[in-house]
Amino acid sequence: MSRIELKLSRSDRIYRPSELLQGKIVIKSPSSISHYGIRLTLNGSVSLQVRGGSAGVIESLYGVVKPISIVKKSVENTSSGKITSGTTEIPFSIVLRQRQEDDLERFYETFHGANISIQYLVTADIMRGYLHKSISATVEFIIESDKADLERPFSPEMVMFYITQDTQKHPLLPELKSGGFRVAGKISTLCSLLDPISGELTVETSAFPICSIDIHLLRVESILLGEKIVTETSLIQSTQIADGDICRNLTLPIYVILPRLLTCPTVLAGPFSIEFKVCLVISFQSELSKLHSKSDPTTPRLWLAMETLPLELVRTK
Amino acid sequence: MLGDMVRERIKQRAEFSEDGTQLCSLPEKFEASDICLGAKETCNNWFCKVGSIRELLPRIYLELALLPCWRFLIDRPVDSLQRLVMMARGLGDTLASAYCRLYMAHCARKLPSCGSGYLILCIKDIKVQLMRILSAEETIHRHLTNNRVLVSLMEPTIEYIMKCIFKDASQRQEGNALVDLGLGRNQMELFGSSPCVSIVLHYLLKELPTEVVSSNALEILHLIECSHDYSFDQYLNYRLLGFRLSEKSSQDIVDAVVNYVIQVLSQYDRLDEYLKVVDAYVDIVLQYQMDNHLSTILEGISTRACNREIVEDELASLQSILLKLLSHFKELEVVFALNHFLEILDVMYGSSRSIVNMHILNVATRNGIIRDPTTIQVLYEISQALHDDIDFSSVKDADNQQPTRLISHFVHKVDYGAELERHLMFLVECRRAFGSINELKETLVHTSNHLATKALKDGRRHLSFLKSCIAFSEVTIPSIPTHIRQLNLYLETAEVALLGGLISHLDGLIDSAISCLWSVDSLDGSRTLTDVDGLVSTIQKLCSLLVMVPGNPEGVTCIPENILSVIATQSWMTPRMKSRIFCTIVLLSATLSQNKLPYHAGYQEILGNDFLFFGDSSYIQDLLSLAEIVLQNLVDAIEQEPSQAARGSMALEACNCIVASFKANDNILPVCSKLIETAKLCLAADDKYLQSTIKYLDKQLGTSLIVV
Repeated sequence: MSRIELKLSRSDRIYRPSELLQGKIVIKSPSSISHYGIRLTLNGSVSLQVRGGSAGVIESLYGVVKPISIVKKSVENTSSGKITSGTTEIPFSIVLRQRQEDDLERFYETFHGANISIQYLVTADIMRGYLHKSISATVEFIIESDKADLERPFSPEMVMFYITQDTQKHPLLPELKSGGFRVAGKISTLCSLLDPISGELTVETSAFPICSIDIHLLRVESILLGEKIVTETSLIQSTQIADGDICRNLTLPIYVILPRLLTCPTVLAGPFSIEFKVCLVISFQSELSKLHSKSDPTTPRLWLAMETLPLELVRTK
Repeated sequence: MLGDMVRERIKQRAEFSEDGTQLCSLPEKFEASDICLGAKETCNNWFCKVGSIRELLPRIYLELALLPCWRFLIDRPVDSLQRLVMMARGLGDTLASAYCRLYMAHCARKLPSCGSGYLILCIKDIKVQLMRILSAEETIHRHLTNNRVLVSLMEPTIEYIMKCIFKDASQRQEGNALVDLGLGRNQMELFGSSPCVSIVLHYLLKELPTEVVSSNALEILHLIECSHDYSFDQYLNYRLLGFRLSEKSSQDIVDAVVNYVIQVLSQYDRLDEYLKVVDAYVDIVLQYQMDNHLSTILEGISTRACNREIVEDELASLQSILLKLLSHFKELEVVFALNHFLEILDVMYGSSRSIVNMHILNVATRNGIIRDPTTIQVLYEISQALHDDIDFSSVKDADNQQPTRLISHFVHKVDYGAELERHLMFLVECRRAFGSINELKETLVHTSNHLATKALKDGRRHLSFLKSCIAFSEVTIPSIPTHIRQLNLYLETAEVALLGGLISHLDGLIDSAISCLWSVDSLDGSRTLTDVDGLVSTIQKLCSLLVMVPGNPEGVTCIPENILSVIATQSWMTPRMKSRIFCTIVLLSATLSQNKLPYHAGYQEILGNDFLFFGDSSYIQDLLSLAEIVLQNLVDAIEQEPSQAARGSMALEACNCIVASFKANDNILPVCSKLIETAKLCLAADDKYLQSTIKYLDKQLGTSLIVV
């Protein structure tokens, strides 16, 4: 049985829209194959799915919303001929984006979320007429935007925050409310994907012993569905920065490395958007917390104090 | 482990391409720019992976393990170290964070030149943590012991980090000035304006370079004074300062510090603390001759130590202090003269006491003879105490050798000068007090004999003293277990008696010696060669003594006959020994038969046998018959010798002896010729001894024995 394989020139399979997608088609065959040409197909699209989140029952029934195409092109790499038996390697090279015709904004970075998925695929087909099934192989490649080259130099932004019993919108344990606490610090709100989220945090006072301080990275995917925006928020990474009742007035660093596969630059397109948030959660030592150990850590609880801040992620060189 | 593996892997990625060909070889001090992208990618993946761990503690540990890998990405990874130090603050558990910091200090040593800034930050954080524990505890006393344990468990971290700080400091030596500056800065940062936690101070003080300690002694003293919390006992910090200062310091600083510390000490009620601190400062006080402080200290000890039970720890400190005193002063009298020294010595007991006592005796016996009566008295009491502590149930133990040897040595070194009676009294006391030390008894006998001869030399008539000396010896000797020793001592005493003209004593002593000889065998079977040789020469000595001893009424040959019968009955005597003893007796009888003896006792009143028996034919006859018997025995003994060569030389020896002793006559000749025959059979013909003996015989006997 003949086998076909696509090998991309980069082991990490990351390409920029302005670059050429290069690689080779590797065919392993016990016998020689004659064909009508080898065709390469490039397909990039945003697939949207409404499920959970703020979507209602009816929207959920719709299921998949029509995908948005980013790029779709097909080129013949090799004209008809014959492939000898054994291993054959055929190099290929495709232009991803024509400068004039394509909209710069449209080349979103590869992203795999809960409801939104941005995916780029390249497929090779050996066409063998109607008598034989064509042999094909597909491989995904990753697009990283090169927008940064054109924009103003990037400067990360920080915001000061403070968390006290009075900043909380949800009810707290009465002893927590009366004892009082104050946690202050600063954290990135505009951050390069290559850099960690940085900042610092100081527990200034807390009458009640602290159990843990965590930083949760949240992803907010929104889809325009008719008149309505369906939003799904999911937790993608938790990082603990304090474990136990720490010393007061000692500055703790905030240092969260962004997970590469779960993040992308913040996208605000018309039909959909992908945004991020950081949520600081201070949990106090409480018997109650043990009853809910399995629940979502960002749900407001009596023994938690929290602060959620937007985080804009950008691609930098 | 993990860190090393990852590091190796990335290094491999950097040095080899994917198909295994070597691209480059990384130098020891490579830079981030030397690393290819693929390797950097792998390295970065590791850090991302670690970064995605939720829990703080494992994340810190893994990042620390991978710390050396930062070098693949950036040239100066110090920043991440700084961040990790701060991250460790997030560990609420005191112990977890302490050990995390310990691991951090350990890992950071693999990084080149990261300075000590992060370590100082660590120490500061630990300090904050400690302060928190300490302040919390003032309200809740329930957990006091718990927290003490907690603090003690944090000690290794503090110690290790301090060590790292100052190890780095010495490595970065770029001229002394810079180091001083660097340390000065460290110190300020560490000491800060906030009060120091005493345990941190302790380890800081322990690691500070000697120069810094001595030049900042007063500041440190002030810090110690300020830091009074239960994380570490304050007195131990005073103690440490003392030890550090005794390494190196100068007069004025020492003056100030010691003055202050003595003041602090005066507030201490507990002996244990007092002693521990004093122990550290004794050296300084002695070295800088602060005599007033010394007496204050000693008085302090004595007021705290007397009239109460001393526990083990305190004994050890006391021992150390007293030993320092002893090794400092050359003269024992000075030590004894110190106020309270003897009082303090008296409160001690057990092995510490013995050790101090032994040192005192050692010092005492090191410097020649001891004359001062009070010193002697003190030493005597010390010896007594020491003696009481010896466990005589295990006499063979090496432990007991030392004290017994020292006591004997001490007794030996005592000298009362002209007060001979007093000295003898002392000996009597010693015998009573140290009855169980056998070694000492010998010393006692020797000393008493020495006293007796000294009395004789004075020329004065100390007859009664002399008698008491000899009586003392006579009484003492039987309690010595070894018969050979007894024998030697009896002979020595006999000589003294002879010298003093005490014939009755002399006879008694010789009798005792002979009876000793009788019982020599019964003691033990395993005899060394030197013992045997010693015994033979002792018997020879006895014989030579007999030349001067006036014959007693039972006949002049009585004693030699006694010896003969001893030899006959003792089965362990070898033929060689026998022949030598027989020769000696032959010579003795020959000597005694002369009209004028070769030597006489020094004392005029003792007449030699030549005077006593002049012209007495029965006397001569007795000697002759004795000689005859001996001669026969001699020949028999030689025949019994199994070794040929030995037999030959024995025969020649005997021959020489016979020829020297007897006039040539018909009785002698056959004996001689027989002996020569034996010798010829046993030895080679050209043996020099044989030749010369034959020559001598020819000359003396006037006959030719040479049988070709």
